[in-house]
Amino acid sequence: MEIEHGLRQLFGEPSEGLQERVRLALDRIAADEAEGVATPTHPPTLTSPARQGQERPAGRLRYFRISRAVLVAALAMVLVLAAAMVAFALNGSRIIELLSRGDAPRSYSDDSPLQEGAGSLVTLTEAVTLRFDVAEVTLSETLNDGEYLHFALQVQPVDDTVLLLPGYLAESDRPMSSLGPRFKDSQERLGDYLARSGRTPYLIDISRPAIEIDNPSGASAEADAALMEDTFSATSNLVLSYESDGSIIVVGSFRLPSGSASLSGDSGTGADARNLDLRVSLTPAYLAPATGALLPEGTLSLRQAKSLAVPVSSGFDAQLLVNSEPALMTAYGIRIDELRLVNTPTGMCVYLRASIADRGAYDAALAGSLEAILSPEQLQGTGAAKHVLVLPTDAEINLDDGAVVLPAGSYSGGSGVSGDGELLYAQFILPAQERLPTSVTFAFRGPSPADPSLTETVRIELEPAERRR
Amino acid sequence: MQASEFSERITALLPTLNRVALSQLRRWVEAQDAVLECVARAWEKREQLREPRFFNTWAIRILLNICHDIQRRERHEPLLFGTDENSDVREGRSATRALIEAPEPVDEEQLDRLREALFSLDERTRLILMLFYVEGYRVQEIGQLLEMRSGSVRSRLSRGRAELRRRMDSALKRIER
Repeated sequence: MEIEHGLRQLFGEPSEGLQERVRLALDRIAADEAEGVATPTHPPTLTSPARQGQERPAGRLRYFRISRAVLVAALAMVLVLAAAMVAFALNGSRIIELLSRGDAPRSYSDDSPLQEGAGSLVTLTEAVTLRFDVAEVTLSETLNDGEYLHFALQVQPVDDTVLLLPGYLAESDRPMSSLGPRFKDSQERLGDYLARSGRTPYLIDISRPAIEIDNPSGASAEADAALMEDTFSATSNLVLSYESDGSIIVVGSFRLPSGSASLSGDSGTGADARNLDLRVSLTPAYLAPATGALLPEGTLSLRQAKSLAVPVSSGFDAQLLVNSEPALMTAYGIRIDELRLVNTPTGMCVYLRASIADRGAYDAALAGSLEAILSPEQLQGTGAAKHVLVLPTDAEINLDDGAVVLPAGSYSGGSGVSGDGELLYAQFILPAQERLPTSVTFAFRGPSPADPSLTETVRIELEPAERRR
Repeated sequence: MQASEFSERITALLPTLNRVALSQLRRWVEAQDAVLECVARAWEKREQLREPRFFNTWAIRILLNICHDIQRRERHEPLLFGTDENSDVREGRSATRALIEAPEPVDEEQLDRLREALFSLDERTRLILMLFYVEGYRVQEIGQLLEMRSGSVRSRLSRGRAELRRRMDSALKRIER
């Protein structure tokens, strides 16, 4: 049922009874006016007298009333949190373990500062504990109004667990030749690691990534809320890839909203240091493939406090000239909207944004491809592993002297679908470049009704406008 | 504003007021009470309306405040006996069915699912969806009405739509199982 139509059906038109009651009320109003009564002696309604005594100024919205009960509850929550923080400081991992007992779905979070080499422990059940060691955290220093903030971190799970992304599980029965070389490398690294370690893989769903920054506006909490609400629903993005030691590289980016002038500092002079509190949340549905049993879903929150000097940016404006129209993209109505190249401390970030015109075909293909690979039990609770569909899986940039630059060994990149499923994102980190690239070539991979292993490439010519600061 | 003009304008706005109240209050009877209260209060406060062209916005805001009052009172004075809210709404729908020229047959189960999904959203998102899809307000107009930025309205629309779809799909799967 169309939601729009359903809403109309649901609410319908006023009943005859209501219309009659309103008509009577209006008659009374007209009569009062004729008799010179400025306001009715009593409201012409059939509501209870008690309700009539609760008048308030009209015409202004009053959304944010807080009842006493809410205040008491908030105060109690603050006290509990304070007690929990003290207890956590004394014996953090034990507290997490105690809080995590039981099988009911819940959220787990470790909001301690994310530091290189600092272990983070998350206990899912009494039997399953995941421990993360963050091997590396990098934040780019490109932070201009309206631009992208890029970050990369490496998560190293220890103990006897391996994090397995649905996309990699889903791809396991597809021909390797259908995958881009970097994607294939990443999967091979995972396969090698699994064979060597004998560890148990767990599925982690990244279809609902979230990135938070504390005090992004640099102003009031209200300004923060408005900024976050307008920005993060559509622009956040996370991509992940495997390393040979079983760790996961998480590369993310989001666009700072236009108009957030306070974020860009005293633009032009640089060096306006601002503390950003970056929190990366993965929302995993843990699945033990051996048994098909689903473990409680939870949110793992990794947090990074970082001081950034803004603005420092070396980006390239590029006019997009798509020189081919691959059938795969045409089939799903995929249109490339934006390509951005930014030099970051870890290399050049190639960021592609595209939109999906034919969402119906996309969803249908997604359902088909997943059902062919995963059992219903496996599908349940994992969310939509949308990145197994038609997505750019590899990129290379071409320089004016004919040289080709491939993604670096580490942050090879990946791609995903935005929260509302209407945009495709892809991001690749390549070695930093001093020269302007002349074109970027993406390999698009994904199933089509005719050929599930179809891979096509699209070459995007760049016409650099100017090299900005 | 004269009674005749007020009567004409509030009558024209009645379907909208009815739907706004229904989107905010769970029970049909209370929605009707809220609309009537709104008519009375709007007449009493008519001198506060400085710009007649904002009559609709002004009246809807009055209605929303009344709905909030009712919701707040309900929280403090819970019903002694439970009611089947869906049956209450079904009753209201059947009473008005004769007035609706339904373009396609009505599926009561689906409507109940939609209603359940809709009322699981927060009230502001619910209202935005209704104003946009049923009343045909533009994003900017909704922003002015609810004192929100257009971007916020847009993002709530997008999230609300996705959430509705997700919840309806999930309810359908439960039934199929």
